[in-house]
Amino acid sequence: MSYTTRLLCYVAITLMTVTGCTSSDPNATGNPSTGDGAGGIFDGSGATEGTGEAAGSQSLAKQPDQLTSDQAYHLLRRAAFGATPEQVEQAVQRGLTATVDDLLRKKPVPAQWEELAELHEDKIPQRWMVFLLESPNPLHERLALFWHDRFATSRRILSGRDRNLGVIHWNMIREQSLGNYRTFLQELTIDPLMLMWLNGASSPKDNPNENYAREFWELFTLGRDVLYTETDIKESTKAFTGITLLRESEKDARPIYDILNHDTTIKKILPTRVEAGDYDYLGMIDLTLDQPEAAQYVARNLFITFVHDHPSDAVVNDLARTFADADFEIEPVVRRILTSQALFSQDAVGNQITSPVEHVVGVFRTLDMHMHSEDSQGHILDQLMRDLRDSGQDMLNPPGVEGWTEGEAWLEDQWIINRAGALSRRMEFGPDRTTELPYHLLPPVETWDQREIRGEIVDTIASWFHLKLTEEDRAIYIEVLDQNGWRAFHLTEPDQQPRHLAELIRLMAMSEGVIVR
Amino acid sequence: MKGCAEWKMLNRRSFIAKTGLGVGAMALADPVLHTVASTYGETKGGTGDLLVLCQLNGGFDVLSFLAPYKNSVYRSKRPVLALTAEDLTPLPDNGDHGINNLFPVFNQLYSEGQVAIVQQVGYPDANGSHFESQEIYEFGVRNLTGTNGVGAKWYERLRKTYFDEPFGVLDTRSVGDPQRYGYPDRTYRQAAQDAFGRLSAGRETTNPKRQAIHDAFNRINVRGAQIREKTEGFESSGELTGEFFRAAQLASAGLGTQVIKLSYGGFDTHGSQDQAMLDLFPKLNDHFAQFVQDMKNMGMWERTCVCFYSEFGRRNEENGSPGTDHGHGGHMILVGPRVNGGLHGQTVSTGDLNEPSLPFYVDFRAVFASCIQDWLGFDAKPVFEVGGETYDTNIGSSLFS
Repeated sequence: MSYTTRLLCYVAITLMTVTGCTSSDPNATGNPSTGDGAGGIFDGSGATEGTGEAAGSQSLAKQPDQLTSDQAYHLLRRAAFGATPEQVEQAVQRGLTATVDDLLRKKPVPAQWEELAELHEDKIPQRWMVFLLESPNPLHERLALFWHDRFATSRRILSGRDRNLGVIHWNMIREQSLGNYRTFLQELTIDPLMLMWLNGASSPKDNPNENYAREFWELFTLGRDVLYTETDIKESTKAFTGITLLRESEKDARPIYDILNHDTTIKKILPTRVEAGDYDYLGMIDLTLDQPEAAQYVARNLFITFVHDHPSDAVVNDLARTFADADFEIEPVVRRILTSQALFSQDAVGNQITSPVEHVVGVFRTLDMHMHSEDSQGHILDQLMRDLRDSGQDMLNPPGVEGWTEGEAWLEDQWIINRAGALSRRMEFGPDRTTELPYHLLPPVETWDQREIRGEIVDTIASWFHLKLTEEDRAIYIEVLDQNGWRAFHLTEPDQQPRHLAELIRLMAMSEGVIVR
Repeated sequence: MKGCAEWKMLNRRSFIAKTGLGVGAMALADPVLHTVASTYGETKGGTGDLLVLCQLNGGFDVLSFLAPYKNSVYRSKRPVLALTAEDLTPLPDNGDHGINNLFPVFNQLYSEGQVAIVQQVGYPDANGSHFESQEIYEFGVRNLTGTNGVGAKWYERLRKTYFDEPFGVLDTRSVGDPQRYGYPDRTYRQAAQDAFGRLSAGRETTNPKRQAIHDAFNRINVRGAQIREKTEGFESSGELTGEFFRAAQLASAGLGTQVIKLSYGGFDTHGSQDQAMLDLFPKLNDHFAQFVQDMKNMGMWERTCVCFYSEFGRRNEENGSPGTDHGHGGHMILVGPRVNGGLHGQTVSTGDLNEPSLPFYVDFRAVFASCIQDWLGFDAKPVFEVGGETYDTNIGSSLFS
């Protein structure tokens, strides 16, 4: 454990800085062992199709490069929230590999979005929404949102001068979202907001706090009750002792190692697997990642968020091997998942219920509707984020340490109602508070006084979302344009038409086929 | 509105007893009263009373609610957090324990015999995970994997078994603001709301996730119309609009509701617990006090029992933060005019305090089962004896008078 003491030996009297040392220490990582006695964990010869399941649903074999339009939209909804008709067409032209390569390549964010986001200072939901809607790196943002759910922390413990710690945390998870998992955990453990949220900063050796140690395993690395016992938690808590926060300025809090409060005794952590030793937090991260269950846990979660919720053990083990072989780089795992047959199998397509944020962001990315300057849209983001909070997803304020409950849990009645509100919020506030519509994707305004335009409009909107409408549904949507027989759309005054159209777009965006992806 | 709320609460049995047949026949012609009389509890032998479940998420520190403040072990294990005589009101019937003065309504109601505290409740082989322990309490089974009972919360099993009404069990979180219950329509002639209903009505798909969305849409349409109408006239006695406000609002609607579930969060006090309690406890107290007043104003308090519980208690010893880590046993608190007021279960002893956490002596299911049997008037066996699980049903005393 030489790296463990590396940090400590710098300590002159009591305090030393932790930040900067960890990320610049390339020797801190070694090749993870696969453990022994864990028969079958890494012996999978590639995943094979399970019996009785849809073809390819458990296959990591590469999907053919040629994509249909529906497949391209599916990929972009899963990896990038949504896509405009033009982006879908581009993906079809490029093929799967090039599209995924492009998604993984991080591009510079135009300064206008950085500037717009910064106007919202420490309001993370608003700032984040700018990037979710506008960033040229939607996959990185999508993964950051995923990690935020897994590494849930909350701004609700922050008050006054502490609020900037939320910004530091948010920048960290966005920076690390497609990086190295070991580095990520190192950064996470000494992240100021995390140190406050799970009490890592108030765990001196004489009175240690178990909160971080427990969640580190349960939520971040192994899963609930995997490998560890309550005794292990008590022992591992000792390894995490001694980290605390130093406030040097209004906007910063620096994690420091308070050596007098670090427990330097020999710890017996996971004794059947790991030698007893004087572990510190870096040692805890390494010994945990040395367990094959850790790579499996993370690989399983990544598969589930992109593909479907029932990966076979063979798939998980195969992905875990990719993960461990790449020394816990996240990108190769994501690349395999996004190019796998499983992603395009019947078990996956249309079989995930989106969270409110993913849904709303996906709709507006599909509609090719963009933010304007702060001046023209006033408080749109404040209101949108309030709607999303009331839809069950208040970013940086999860319901608890385990993040949000995904899937059908999003279908609380009132949450659905507020989702519909969030969708219209964005369209209500064009420049000067006019109704804003994606005019460039719709039939030309000059044709809106023609009788047939109603069906054409419905079909056009359905095509953006790749919805296959039945005749019955199509008729219902046309009736909405006609306001239930109040006045046919093509006869409606031109200044009223956008409002009616916005109602239709919202209703179609709220349909079951758009809420799933 | 308030004048007729009391009438709505009467079930058929007491209705006939109190009014006589003549008035009863007249009342049955009234659509509102008819609904109440036909759905309220009577169907399979229930009492028709109201049970409110208040889940305190995060792990409620019961030793900061009911403190053994004279105990030296308690004081020595909690040098910062132990409550002293000034912080609490000693129980009239046991001066060694006192209720935190941050909970005046509980102190008041305890002195009136309306608070029953079942001490040191839990379940075998305590689990320290919030998530898992909350699920154990919600599903009413110890073993969450491989049992038949899992998949439905116990109060949903209760509803399905005895009063399969759409409004029989309401969760304030899923109802939200009753007046905003429905597709938010801004078209003429409710075109969008109509369409929203028609797009899901009667739809069936083989994909369970898509079906779940259709089901949710249908639920919103059907329930929304009724809930909006029935809660329109509710007026609270106070200004607070938390979950207890919603509970009173829903209780006022006369929709045949027998169980209202709500939750308050933030009780995971690992750090700065002394400060955190100054926010958490008065909030819970004030919201609950307003609820009690609202129910009294509507003449419904007499028919109400509120059960407070949490996924676990906290450690006996404070940590250095100063706060308390996850413990095991906790108290369940029943409040209402017809509970058997006083202390139940095992009173916290020096031996219990010498343990790292309070042990458990009473299974939480025994307390819920008593609420089902002795308060709602149903057999609890089909609710808790599922998946081959058994538990110790003994509490040692009767929770209802």
